[in-house]
Amino acid sequence: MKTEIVDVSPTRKEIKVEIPAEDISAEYDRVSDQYAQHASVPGFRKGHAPRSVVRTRFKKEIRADVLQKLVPEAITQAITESGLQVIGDPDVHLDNEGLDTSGKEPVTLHAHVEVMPEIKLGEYKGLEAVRRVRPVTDEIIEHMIEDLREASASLQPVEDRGAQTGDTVTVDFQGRYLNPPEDEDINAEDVDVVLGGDGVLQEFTDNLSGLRPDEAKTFTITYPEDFNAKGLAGKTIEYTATVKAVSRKELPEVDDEWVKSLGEGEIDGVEKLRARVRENLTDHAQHESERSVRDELIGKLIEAHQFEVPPTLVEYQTNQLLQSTVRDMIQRGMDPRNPDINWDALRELMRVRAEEDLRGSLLLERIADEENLEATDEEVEAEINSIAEASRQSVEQVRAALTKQGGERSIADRLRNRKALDFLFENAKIRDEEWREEELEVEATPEANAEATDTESSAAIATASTASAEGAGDAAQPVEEQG
Amino acid sequence: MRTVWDIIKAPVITEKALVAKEESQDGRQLLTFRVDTRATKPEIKSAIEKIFNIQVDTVRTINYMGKKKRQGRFEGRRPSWKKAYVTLKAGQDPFDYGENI
Repeated sequence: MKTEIVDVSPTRKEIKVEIPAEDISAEYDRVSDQYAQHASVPGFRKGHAPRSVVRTRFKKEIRADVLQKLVPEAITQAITESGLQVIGDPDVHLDNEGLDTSGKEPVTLHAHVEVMPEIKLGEYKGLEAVRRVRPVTDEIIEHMIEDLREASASLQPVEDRGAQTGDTVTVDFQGRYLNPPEDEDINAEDVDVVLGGDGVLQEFTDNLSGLRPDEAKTFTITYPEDFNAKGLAGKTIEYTATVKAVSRKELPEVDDEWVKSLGEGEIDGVEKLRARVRENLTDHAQHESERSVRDELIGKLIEAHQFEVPPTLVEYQTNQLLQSTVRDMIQRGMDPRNPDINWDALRELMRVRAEEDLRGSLLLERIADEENLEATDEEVEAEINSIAEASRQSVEQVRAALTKQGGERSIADRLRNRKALDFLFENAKIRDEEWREEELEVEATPEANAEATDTESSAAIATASTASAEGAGDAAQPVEEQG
Repeated sequence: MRTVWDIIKAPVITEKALVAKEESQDGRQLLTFRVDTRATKPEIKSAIEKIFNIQVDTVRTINYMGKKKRQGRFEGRRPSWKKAYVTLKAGQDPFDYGENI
């Protein structure tokens, strides 16, 4: 068998293979004998038709069988011999399509395959990065404590005055459609309206202000055209509101009593709470800065190493990202079928990200190779356990899920990459600099923002559960790093 | 107009025919054809010689009656046909019915 490999690009190769005539005729005879044993041809008893008759009759079938047997064999052999690391399926073409496979002439074919790019590692030790730790100021701590107070606020009924902004008013509504008129009236009982709150129309706030319990008021509201609830948008409704109760938010005093009521065990005093909040915020800031340093290191690494990423991998990774985006949307209660979503643009965006991710992980893999970093079985075990813990599943469940997605191998690879990143981190030149606020804003997509605030507030709730927040984030996408 | 193709319909390729061809005596190949029922031996001879460009020694023929078939109460018959055993003269190239295309 003659093979020849042509470089199309670093990640694409063309393999040319020639299957010799003897191989073909041998296979051809084998297949036709096989057919002859079973074929029923008119004029002959089953299995008694001569080979030549069977060949004429089953020409196409035999040809297909022969090719199906020989071509993949030839390609696999060619790939093994060449020692290429092939990704995905080879794209095979016969050079002489109408060819006679009876074994008189050799078959030539070529296959396009994608391979892992050869990455020449440049300098990866001593990369420079800047570490900026977000300072934990008293202001932020007070803000967090304020949030906590808000969360444990209780509603106290108000008797001595009318409702005012900030109060919660419990109302029965009766609504009549004025324009356009509809038969159905709106009847809603015990609706809690927070005056001046988020998502409450200004008109409601204005009209309900000053009312006392048991008072009623009739007013007309025209909803804006772009109102969220489609059924109401642009309609005019006359409401009769009967106030049942007015209550105001009672914020607890910041004292030891309140802190104890939070039920955080050993934290039984205001000072201890402050200390704990500070501790958590500092931890969080530390993590955040480390992560950003790591991001920067990887970014530098990617910048320093230009290579071509196999398109199949990029495609796969893009799909993975899109899938997780869709899952995310569903979790957030958004409908992915919403026609307003520009999937093409999103896909393009994801593609860029996917390629970046792949570059990063391919480089890390390469570094791990270079430094002989390996994940031990115990480490894999520990990782599975921590995933199980973070996602509140049993170890067996996690293992089962992993086996479906490509096994423990992917975890080992991930750990290896993480080790490589640690290695990069340890060998980097890191300068400490002052915290700069605008740095966060650079990547501030709405999504990123939401995430940021989420983690911040959870850090402030002064519990041990924050420690697992990062782990949980990892666990949600166990195989994402791997192509 | 009657042509040679109206006389010779098709080769008969069956186990029996192929065995007969294999076991032909003294180098004279024995071929079998479906022919027109009205065709005579001399007509068959000349037609075969013309089509295949070979020398025919003798022709023997046999008439086959079509099988009786009935569809419910209607009785019919498959077409009757004539088979010709054509013996070639000795020393001809091995004849090929076209199985090695």
